[in-house]
Amino acid sequence: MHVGYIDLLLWAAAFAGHITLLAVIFVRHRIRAFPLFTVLIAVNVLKSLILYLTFLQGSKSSYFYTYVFFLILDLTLQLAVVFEMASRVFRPVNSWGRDVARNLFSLAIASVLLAVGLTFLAQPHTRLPVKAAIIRFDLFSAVLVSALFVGFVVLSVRAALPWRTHVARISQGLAVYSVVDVVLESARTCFGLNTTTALYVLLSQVRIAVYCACLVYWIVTLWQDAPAPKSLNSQMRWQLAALQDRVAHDLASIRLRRK
Amino acid sequence: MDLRLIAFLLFVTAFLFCIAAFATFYWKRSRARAKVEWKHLIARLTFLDRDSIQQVALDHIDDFGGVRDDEGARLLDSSDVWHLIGGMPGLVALERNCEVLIELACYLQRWYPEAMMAAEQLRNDAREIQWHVGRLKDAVIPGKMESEFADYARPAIAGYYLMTRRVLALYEAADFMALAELQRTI
Repeated sequence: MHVGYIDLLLWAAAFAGHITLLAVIFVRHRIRAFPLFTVLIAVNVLKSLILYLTFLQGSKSSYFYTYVFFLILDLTLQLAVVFEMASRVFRPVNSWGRDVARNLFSLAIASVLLAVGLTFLAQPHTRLPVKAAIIRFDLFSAVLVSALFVGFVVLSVRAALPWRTHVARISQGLAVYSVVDVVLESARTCFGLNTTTALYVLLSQVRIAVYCACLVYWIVTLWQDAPAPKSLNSQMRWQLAALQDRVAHDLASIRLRRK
Repeated sequence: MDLRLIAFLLFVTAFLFCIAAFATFYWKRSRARAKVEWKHLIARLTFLDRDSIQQVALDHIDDFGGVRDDEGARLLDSSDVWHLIGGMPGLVALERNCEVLIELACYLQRWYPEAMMAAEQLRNDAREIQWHVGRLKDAVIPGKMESEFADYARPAIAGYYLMTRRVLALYEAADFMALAELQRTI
């Protein structure tokens, strides 16, 4: 397998980006707020190292199996991050908003069906079934993640639930990358590998370049602090505590009326 | 080019177009909401006759929010309720005010994390009342209204009444300058 200078440069840029982002997450104490996102980034560091070492010293088949393993792990972790972001937005007080739980479930089902449908329609132009399967899997994950994130934006705006600054920035990065990935994977599907690998390689390079841009965006935005919230004074706090009791009572009566 | 490839390209293009349209439209709405100021939210509230709302609400619940089961409860019939809330324009105003109250809760959630719990409960209540008002509007169909209107109207208006009391209390707790303006409107 031939690796050009641009591939090496992109690999080094992505690796450096992941390391820098991990450092930012630890130094700025973002790990407690985003543990699953931290795991995703850490696994990407590990993936780059292991794949590079396998490429240098392992066989072609061992590289392929390692690549597929990380492909599946990557999608699993991306979905975990999607869940993490959703829980930050739709579960502001440690319970899912009553009005959004069912909508979220419907969104998840619709996104999976959409991704399965598009993947089924795709006919990658390659003679290798394995390569076709990888292109289909990439397309599936890109469609799924982008549909979920856009769905979250729609649901949160309709339910009037605000996005915290860092949650919004991480989600924007992942959503933009996924949407661009849908375009690139579709192009791969159409133009494929029938005659030459040049276009396939170019599309892969564009994908990594876009991902590197997302890494830079996350590094900058996670380094910055979110706008400072306003705080309640002691009298307000006391009044709010009293209000809580009234709210609990009112809710109970509203639920009674519904029955 | 075979048919399946054409179908794939069409679906992908449609998907990308929808994604871009939804993301742009709702993200702009979200940004606009983040920049909204208190006085603009207040300006969106429609004046409703507080005494009439209170009369309908207290026909159904007591001063503490519990459902009344005494002899004097639920004396108002459908036409009384319909008249007191101001007919269809009143219903539409009620629905719009629910939306604004949800925005008020959102404003509080965004800027006062300590008030998160109360604001989230307000948001949930407002959504629930929106649902009641939606059913209420459905009930305003000839023939259906007489039998169902009062049944839907009472809990919706009682819920709205309780919620407006809570919004006022919450904003009173947060010591907002514009409280008097809000009290006049809702």
